[in-house]
Amino acid sequence: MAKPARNFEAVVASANALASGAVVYRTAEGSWSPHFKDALIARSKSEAEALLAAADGDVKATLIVELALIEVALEEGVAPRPRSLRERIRAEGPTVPIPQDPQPVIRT
Amino acid sequence: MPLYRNGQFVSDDWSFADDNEILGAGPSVVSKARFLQDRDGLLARNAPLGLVLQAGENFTDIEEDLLHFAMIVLTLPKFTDGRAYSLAYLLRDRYDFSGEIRARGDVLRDQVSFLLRAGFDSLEVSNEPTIRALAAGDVKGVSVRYQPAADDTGDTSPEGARPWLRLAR
Amino acid sequence: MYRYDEFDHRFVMERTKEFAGQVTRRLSGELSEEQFRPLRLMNGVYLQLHAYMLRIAIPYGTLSSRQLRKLADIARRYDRDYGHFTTRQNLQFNWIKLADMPAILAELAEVEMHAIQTSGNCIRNVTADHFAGAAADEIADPRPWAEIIRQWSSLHPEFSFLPRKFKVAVTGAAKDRAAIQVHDIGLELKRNDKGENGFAVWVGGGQGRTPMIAKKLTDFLPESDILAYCDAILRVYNLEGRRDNKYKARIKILVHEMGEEEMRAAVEKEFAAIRGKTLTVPAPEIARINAYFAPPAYQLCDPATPVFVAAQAADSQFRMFAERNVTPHKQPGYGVLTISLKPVGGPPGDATSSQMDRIADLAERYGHDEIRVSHEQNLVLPHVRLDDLPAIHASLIEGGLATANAGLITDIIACPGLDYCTLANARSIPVAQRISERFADIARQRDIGDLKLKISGCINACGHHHVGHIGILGVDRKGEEFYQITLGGSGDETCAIGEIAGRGFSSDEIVGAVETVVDTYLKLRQTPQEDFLAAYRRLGSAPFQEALYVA
Repeated sequence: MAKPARNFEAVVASANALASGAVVYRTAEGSWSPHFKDALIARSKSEAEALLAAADGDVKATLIVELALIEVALEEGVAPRPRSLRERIRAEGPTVPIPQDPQPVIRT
Repeated sequence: MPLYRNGQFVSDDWSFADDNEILGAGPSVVSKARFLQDRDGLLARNAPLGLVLQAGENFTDIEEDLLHFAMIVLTLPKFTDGRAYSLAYLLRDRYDFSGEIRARGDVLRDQVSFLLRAGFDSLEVSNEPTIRALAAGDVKGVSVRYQPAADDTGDTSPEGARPWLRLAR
Repeated sequence: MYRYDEFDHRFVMERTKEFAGQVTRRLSGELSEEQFRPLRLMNGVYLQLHAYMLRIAIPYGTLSSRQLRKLADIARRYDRDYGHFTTRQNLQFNWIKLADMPAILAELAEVEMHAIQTSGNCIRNVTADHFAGAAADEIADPRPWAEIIRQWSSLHPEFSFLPRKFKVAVTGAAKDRAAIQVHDIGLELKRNDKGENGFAVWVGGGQGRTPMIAKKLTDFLPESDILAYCDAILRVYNLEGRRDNKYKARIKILVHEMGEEEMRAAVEKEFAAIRGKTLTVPAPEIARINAYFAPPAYQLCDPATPVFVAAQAADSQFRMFAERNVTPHKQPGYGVLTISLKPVGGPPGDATSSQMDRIADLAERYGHDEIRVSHEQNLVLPHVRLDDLPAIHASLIEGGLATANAGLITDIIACPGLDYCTLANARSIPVAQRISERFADIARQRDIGDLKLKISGCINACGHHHVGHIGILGVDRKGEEFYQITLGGSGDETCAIGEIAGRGFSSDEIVGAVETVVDTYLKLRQTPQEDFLAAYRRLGSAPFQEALYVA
């Protein structure tokens, strides 16, 4: 189904922490959280611009790198989620399990 | 712009002339286009002549004239553009150019040892931390080199089977 | 294997210290990300989706037990207890902190390892045949030359800011296991009728956005001239290679635009000017480096290999393992063992710390202390006594490492894809997992026979899909993952770029599409001995396209 035309996508500010590389999201308090659920969601163009401008200070302060606004899907009754698969993987981790040692095998 | 030459910061005795500007009496640097246009007049001058090559320019059409220049300036438009290293190497190795080879553009401390080994002997530097590092002599890079340099005067060749191995003095 | 001398040690120590300084300058803010990026890339540090990634050089894929244990140790202490072996015979850690980088590199230096030039627009880690020094079909060992070229290319003052990355591969056997024709420089070490060693030199091959097969510039270059010849190629490339468009900056485009003849003339002209000077490799140096790669002290063994023969008769699981994962060795009674890192349903090329430790132990106990990484993302014990194989096999079973699928359809090459990589457009690992689950039945795999399936999650082609017998390329179409199939590619001495079969398949369809291709092959092959590639070359793409798109 075609999406209704939208002038503005809700966005959050995301980056990687400079020293650890960890994915982080800008919170309402102006700090950075590793959890997408803590992210401040900008719902208008002006809110998005303000969010980006505020976050950009931390690029200059060498706290974060790769700052970007990412689009968020807002749907009734569902927790907000990044719109693109790439951003969902950044937020939620790889879609494949982290390799583990195999269970001990008893040879028959 | 601060000029680093042969291990220290010095004042620049060269003037860089725009293509339509009348040259002064002292050492002057011209573009390749101007040189090609006014070759005989420029070579007849009674003062050192320098050449500046922009990124992407090479020695085509001026190969025979290279040794007339007292200085050749090679432009590094950005840190990652490595063409000037090969041009400097060719000047030293192939054309026996013994004048000054100057780097201008985006010069960072991390490439200083490569530049000097490729044959450059002067650097125009604007990056403050790089100026500090040069002043402190903290630009040697890794002292073991697996390649001979265009200018090996700063190196020794250790005994052994690898004729290309060098150690910084 | 090669051991560092005092100069090599000093080189790596100082370089490690220099990079640690660069990290400190970045963390302090002295360096901007734009300034730091080329510096970190020259030392194998990427910023990926979830964290920094560190790519550690494993020169020509050769490791000692001590080195492999160190990698396991780093995985355990600084990462999430696993590592990823890559198609360039390197190892990647996916969850590294920038602040830990200096400590990790210092630890690597203790075991003669580093991450120098595993990325960036420089001469990358040199790769070689993973069966080098062991394979029965080898003419001469390519590793000494890979080592000589590695040293020459390390922190090269002239060639550290090339238009684009530059990859060199060396093989010493007519059977090309190093994919030399899809490298920037591919070297085939050979012997002429006078008994002298030399190289056929291929230039301008590559995969990526514009796949090209290399051109042979010379059929026989005396071995002592190899550095001067490489120097000449690099100088031509550094000066003439395109810098206006990163997608056209590889040497393959320069060769294509200049033409083979003009490229050869330019290289020969430059070579003539430097030949016979400092870069000529002297005979004592050739002998010195070769001595490091002398064959191990083979143990006495019964050429009839009674233990090996008996185990095959008694244990069908072992017999199938031996048939697929053991390759003939030069030395009677010995074999070359491939340890598959492609368990059904697992991410291709990953190994946990304890798996690495186990393989290190096996190499130490049974394998003359040597391990290889193959560009097919498996590990290899190059020198094992056939009679030791049953014991090795039992240990591999305990470690989840006994998958008997070397060269079969589930021995899939896959890049990390969108699960880890910032460049990817689509996921690779889940597709590899689902395909290997679909073809999990080992009898079915063995019936299908030799089949190289390779998956890339974007056009950069790290998963080598262009040279897969079946290649899969992930693309993004309006936010949805699609997968394009290529057929008939090959990375060996009969090198070919695969042909696109037609429109792409959705994530749900792709496994079925691969199965359709395989079933078509099974139906049309003349004999079970005619493998997929041979059948494709005989039949062409039409019957496969018909099965995929018409039927």
